[in-house]
Amino acid sequence: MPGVDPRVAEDGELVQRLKRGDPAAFDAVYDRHRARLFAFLTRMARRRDVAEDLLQETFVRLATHAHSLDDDTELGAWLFRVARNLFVSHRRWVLLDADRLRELGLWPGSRGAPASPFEETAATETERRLERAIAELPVDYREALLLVTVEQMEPQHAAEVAGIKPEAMRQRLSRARAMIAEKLK
Amino acid sequence: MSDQTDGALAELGSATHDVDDATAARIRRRGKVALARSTRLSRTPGLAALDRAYNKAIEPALVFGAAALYLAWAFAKVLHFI
Repeated sequence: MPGVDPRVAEDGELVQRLKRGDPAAFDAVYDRHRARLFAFLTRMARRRDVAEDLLQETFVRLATHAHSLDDDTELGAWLFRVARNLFVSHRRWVLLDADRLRELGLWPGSRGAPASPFEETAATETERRLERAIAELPVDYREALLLVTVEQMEPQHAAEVAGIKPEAMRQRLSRARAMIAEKLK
Repeated sequence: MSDQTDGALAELGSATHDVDDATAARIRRRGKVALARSTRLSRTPGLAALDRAYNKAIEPALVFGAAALYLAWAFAKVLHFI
């Protein structure tokens, strides 16, 4: 198909097959996007167990909504958007719990950002320091940096995933880069 | 931020981090069960409407009704002892 991005064409075919309930299409999407989504969710949540739960819910949502997907859905962006929204909902509940514990005087207080689960498995010292620096970023900046710099999304696509304007995404990205540079000094 | 740091960040994306095999298999299985269910529902419009009605109206009404009855019963018991 000249002029059509093969990735988009492939997504179109997978969407059609998902709509027909083809389990092999689910396998193909799952195998293609699982690791990237898991890495994104783990770096966002900073906990493997939470990332696994959110990953499962993301793919269950894909299966549940397969029949209402638009024919031109870009599956990668769609999955990242769902995963991101699930993480935001999860975080809201965690914050509510934290507030309740604080009211009861049971909250241990801030102990700084937890380490990234990927810090231990980092291959090099630079990687380890980067994982630590990313884990310490505020959540909005962490999201911007992960989507654009680590996942290599165009800022416009990343903005769509995050549900913000491209300009806001660029600002967050610029702040995130400055913070990372500061932490790595 | 230096180009070197940018490159290192991009490399983080190429490193493979994945769930363990058991978790991967569990999520795959649940996803396929959900796909089979939603396919079944989409092929039977009546069933889909029933499923939607149950999830959005009947189940919440049953839960709300049960909670209201329990509260009324508990309130009546308290009034009885006062």
